Amino acid sequence: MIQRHKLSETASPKPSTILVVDDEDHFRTALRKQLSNRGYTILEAKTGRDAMARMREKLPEVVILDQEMPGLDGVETLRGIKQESPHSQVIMLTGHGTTSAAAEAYKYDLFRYMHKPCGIEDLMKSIDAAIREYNAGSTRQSDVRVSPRQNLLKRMAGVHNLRPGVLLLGLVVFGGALLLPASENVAFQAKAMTGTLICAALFWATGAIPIWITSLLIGGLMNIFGVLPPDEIARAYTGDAMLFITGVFVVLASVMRTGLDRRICSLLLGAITSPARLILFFGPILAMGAAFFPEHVLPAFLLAALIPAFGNLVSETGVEKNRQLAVMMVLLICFTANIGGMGAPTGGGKNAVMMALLADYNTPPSFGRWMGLGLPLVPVTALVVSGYLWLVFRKAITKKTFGDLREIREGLRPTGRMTPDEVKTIMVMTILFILWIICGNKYGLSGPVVLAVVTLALLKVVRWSDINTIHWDVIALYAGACVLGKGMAVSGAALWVADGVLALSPASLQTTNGLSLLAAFSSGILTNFMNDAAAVAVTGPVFLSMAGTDPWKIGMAAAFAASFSHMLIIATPTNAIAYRLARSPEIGTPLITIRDFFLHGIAVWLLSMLVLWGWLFLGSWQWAE
Amino acid sequence: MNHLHLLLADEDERFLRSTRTMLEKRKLNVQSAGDKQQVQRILEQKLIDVMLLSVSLPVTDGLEVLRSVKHEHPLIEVIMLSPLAMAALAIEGIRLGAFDYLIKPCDISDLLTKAVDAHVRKQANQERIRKATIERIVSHPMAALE
Repeated sequence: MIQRHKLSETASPKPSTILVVDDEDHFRTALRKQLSNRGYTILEAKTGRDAMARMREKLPEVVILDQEMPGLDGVETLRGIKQESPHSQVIMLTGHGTTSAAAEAYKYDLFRYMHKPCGIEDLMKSIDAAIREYNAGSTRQSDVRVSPRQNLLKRMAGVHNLRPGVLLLGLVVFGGALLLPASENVAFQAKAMTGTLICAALFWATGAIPIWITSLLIGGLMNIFGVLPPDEIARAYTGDAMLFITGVFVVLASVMRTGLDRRICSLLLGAITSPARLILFFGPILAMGAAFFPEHVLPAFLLAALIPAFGNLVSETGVEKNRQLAVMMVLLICFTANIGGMGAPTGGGKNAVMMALLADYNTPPSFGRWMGLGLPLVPVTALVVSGYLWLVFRKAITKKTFGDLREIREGLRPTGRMTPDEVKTIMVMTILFILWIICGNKYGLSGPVVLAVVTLALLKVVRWSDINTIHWDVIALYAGACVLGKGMAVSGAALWVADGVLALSPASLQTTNGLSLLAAFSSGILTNFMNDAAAVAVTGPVFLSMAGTDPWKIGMAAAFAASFSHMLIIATPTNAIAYRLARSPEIGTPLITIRDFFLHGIAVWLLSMLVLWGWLFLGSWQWAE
Repeated sequence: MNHLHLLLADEDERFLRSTRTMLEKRKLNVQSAGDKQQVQRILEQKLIDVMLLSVSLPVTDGLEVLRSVKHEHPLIEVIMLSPLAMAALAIEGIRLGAFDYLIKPCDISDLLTKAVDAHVRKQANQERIRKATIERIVSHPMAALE
C-alpha cells in the first residue's frame, strides 16, 4: 500500500491538491493532518458554498465531500463541483447514507462512496485511485487537443470538408484557365467561368470545403470577374426551380415527421410475399415511389430497417445464402431508388437544376410533361435491373432464406391506424400533384408547392422546427449548380467547351440523337463521382448550347442519366448510407463491400444506359410527343 | 427479429443454470459464462445486447470486466449483480457505465424487466447513431468513408 502511494507521488511531481468539505471541524482537522503528512496540499471548506469559492481559487484533483451538510447538501455540491471542474474526482463520505442516495450521486459522476467512519488506509487507497483517474482524464483530454505530426501527403489530403491539397489544385487550375492563350472569339469571362466550373466540380466531388461554401464561391467569382451583374447572380440563385425543390424538402420534412415514410416502406416490404413479387413488384414500385419522394427518403428508411435485421440474422445463423440475399436486397434498394429519380421533377435536385437550365434556353417542360417523358422509363429500367440481380443472386433466394426475409418483414409491420396528421399530409400531397399536373403551365413548379407548405403549416402538420431540419447545404448546392449553369451559358464558356467536344466527336454523333447519347454518357459517368445535381450542372450547359431549337431531348437525357449513380459508394447519399450502415460495429463482418457496389454497379449502369439509349433512339420520344 | 441476446456472467454455476433455464423459457437467447475468459470468448463470437455481470466474477473482479466490456463494446448494456453485502461495488459499476444493478437473490421478473429496459436503451442508442450517420451522409456521401 505505502509503495503504491509513493508511486503515485513520483508519477506527478507537483503535490496533488485535495479539497476537504465537511462541517465538522475536528474531522477536517484530523484529516488535514493525515493528508499533509503524506505530502498533499490541502484546501478546506465548511459548507458547499465555501467549497465552490475555494474551487475558484485553485482546482483540486480530488474532493472529499461530506454528504450531509447545512446549506447545499452533498449531491448539490457535487453537481456544482463537476460543473466547475469536470475532471476533479469526488469521494463522498457519509455517516448515515443509504444506497439510493449513492445511486443518485453516481448519476453526477461521483468517483466513490464511503461510509464514515472509514479507516485512513482505505481512504488513502481511494484517494490514490481518484488521482490516477484524474490524471487519466486530463491525458485523455490533451490527447484530443494535440494532433499527432502527419506527413505532408496526409496533411494535403486533409479531412472531409477541409482538403488543402485539392484547394491548392483548384487554385492552380483556375489560374491556368485564366492564362490560356488569348483568342478572339473567347471572352476573358468565358475562361474565368471554365476555371470556376472545374474548381466547383473538383470541390463538390472531393468535399474539399463544405458544399455550401463552394456554391457561394461560384457567385462570388462570377461577380469579381464580371460574368453577370450582382442582381442577375442573385436571381440565378433563386428562381422557380429552387423555390420548388425547397418546398419539396419541406413537404418531405412533414412526411418524415408524421411517420408516413415508415408506413410507405412497410407497405412496400409487405408486397414481398413471394420471390416473384420481390423481383417483379418491389423494385419497380420502390423506383416509382422514389420519383415522388426524392433523394434518400425511402431508401434510407428501408436500409436503416433492413440492414441491422439482416446483420443480426447473418451473424446468428452464419448462413452464406442469407448474406447473399442481404447483398441483393441492399443493391436492389439502392439501384432502383437511384433509377426512380428520372420519373418526375420531384425525383431530386438534379431535375430542378435541369429545369432551371432549360428555363434559360427555352421554356422548360411542365411537371406533367416531364412525368410523361420520364415515368414510363422508370419501371422498365427497374425491371431490367431487378432481372439482372435475380439472375446473379437467384441461388440465394431459397425457401429458407425467403422465410427469414419474411420474418424480418413481420418485425417492420406498421403499428396502429393512420394518424390525422398522416391523413392530412396524404391529402395535401395528392392535391399538390394534381395541381402540378393540371395547372403546371400556369402556376409553374413552385406555386403549388408553396401553397402546399402553407396548408401544411396552417394544419399544424409542419412547424418551423421541422423546416429547420432541412439540409440547407444541399439546397445551396442545387442553387450553386443553377448559378454555374447560367454563368456558363451567359459567358460563352459553354459554347467554347461545346466547340471542343464537337471537334472531337465524329460527324455521325452531331445530330440531336447523337448529342443526347453523348450528353447521357457524360452525365452518367460524372454522376458517379459527384453529386447528381452537380453532374447535371457541369454537362447540361455544354450540351444545351449545341442543341439548337429543341433542347429538351438532350437536356433530359443528361438529367435522366444523372440518376445512374450506381458504381461508387460515394456517388449518392443512398449508396453511402447503405455502405456505412452495413459496416456498423453491431453487424460484425460488413454485409456489403465497395467491390459489391462496383462490380454490380457497372453492370447495372450499362443496362440502365442501354434502356435510356433505346428510349432515345427507338422513337418513344416521338411517341411521347 | 429483435430477440434479446443476453449474456449471464456469474461465478455460481447453479445460479447460472437455473436462471438460464427460466429465461430461455421466456424466449430469450441466453449465453452464460463463469469467468472473464469465457465472457471474452462469447463477446468475440456472439452478438450480445445485454449482459448480467456479477461483481465477484473470478480471475479479476466484475468491475474490471465491466471496464473492458464498456471499452470494447460500448453499446452493450450491463446490469451488475451483487449480494447485498457488496452493493457498494454494484453501485460503483453504474459510475463505470453499467445500466443498473440487481441485488441477489433477485426475482426473475425483476431481472427480466431490467434486461428489457436495458435492451430498449441499447436499441435507442443504435437508432440514434444510425440517424446521426444518415444525417451526416446526406450532406456529402464522402462522410461515409470517415
